[in-house]
Amino acid sequence: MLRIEKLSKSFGQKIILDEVNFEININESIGLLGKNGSGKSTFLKILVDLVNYQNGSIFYNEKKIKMETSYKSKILYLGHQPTFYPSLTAKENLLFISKIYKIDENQIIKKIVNSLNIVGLSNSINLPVSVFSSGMLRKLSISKAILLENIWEILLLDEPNDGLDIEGQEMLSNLILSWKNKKSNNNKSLLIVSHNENWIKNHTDQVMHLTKGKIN
Amino acid sequence: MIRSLVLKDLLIEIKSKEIISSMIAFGISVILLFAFSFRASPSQVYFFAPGLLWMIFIFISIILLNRIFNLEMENKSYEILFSSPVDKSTIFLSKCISSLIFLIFSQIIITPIFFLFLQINFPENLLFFLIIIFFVDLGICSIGSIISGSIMKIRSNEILLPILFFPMITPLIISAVKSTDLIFNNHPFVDWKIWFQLILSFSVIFLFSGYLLYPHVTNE
Repeated sequence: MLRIEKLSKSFGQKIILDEVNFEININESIGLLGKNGSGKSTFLKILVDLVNYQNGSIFYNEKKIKMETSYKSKILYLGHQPTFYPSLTAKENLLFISKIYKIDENQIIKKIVNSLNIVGLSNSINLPVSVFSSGMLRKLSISKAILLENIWEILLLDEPNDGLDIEGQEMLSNLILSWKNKKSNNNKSLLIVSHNENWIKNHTDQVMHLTKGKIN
Repeated sequence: MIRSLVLKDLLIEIKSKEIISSMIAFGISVILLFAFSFRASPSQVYFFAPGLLWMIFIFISIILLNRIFNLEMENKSYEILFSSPVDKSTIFLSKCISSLIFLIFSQIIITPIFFLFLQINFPENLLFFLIIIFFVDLGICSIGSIISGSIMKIRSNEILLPILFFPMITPLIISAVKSTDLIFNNHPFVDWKIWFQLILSFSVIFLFSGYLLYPHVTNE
């Protein structure tokens, strides 16, 4: 499904990724562990065109990609720091995201309300995101994945349970399990980055390590 | 897609009222400073008015360009756009259109106040004057969007923007001042045709360059 060949990235003299080879197939969930600063987040950002890479190739369904929009619609990235427009409300942010992902106009509001209900933010639908706590922002970020559930094929999660309360962590675990269980129908793959080894082992099929620029 | 991106910028501005209010406040302040600081005769006013008008427009453009790209930097919101299935050239066009709307809106407020306080008459060829303003604005927004997009992730980008923007905008502003001067003095189109052609070519070239270059200048 997604194959990376000899991908290299360095910031100045510091080599972050050194000819990395990686593959994630349909219905697979992979956990990526690594120390702080090992390049886990950079690796995810490269996959969604937020960071350039120096060498290597990325293939999606065996086609070499150059970050075409058709590829980017299939990969959803939820970063370590949830990103939203602070002066817009939760609803307006999700409405904007729905439009850029071209969700059917007739279903947008219903889907937004539903996704916010699932993450427990239905009472904050009309609040500006600037007043959200970090946990609420994380939940809003997760609601984005629920909202775009029918669009993405690979979900990239960067430290997804950071800042979540126990209730939120349980909700996230249930969602990840549901995506894993539904995957036989929906072709969903998950790539989760974390430094919490126990958590990641319980939520993915396979665990890999990013050490000294290599994924093993 | 462009419509959704532009509407998002407009909605953020309607809620925050940061960009247009600061542009208008700055523009009016400069007009008042000039109007009350100098006791120029009407002929002297006509002599420096085109230059002053475009100076005001350039400085409010800097406020605009700094702010409109910093909107995307708040909470790293640009990650929403750049990781989404939106072509980066489309993002450039949407930023140009949003900037153009904000700039024109501010000019609609500022320009009559400029004529009023400097006690000069509206040009007889008002349509030509508006056409010049539109195409110079297009050039300002195109160049400004290319520069702002490429430096938005750099620290101290507020300082870097005018340093890069002013030299690049100079030919456009010289043409704008020259043609505005000739329009204010009711010269026929043939007298300022060459300046108009320069403005038109400059704006169109930078609009297309930005469309082509933007995807390459925005990555980390």
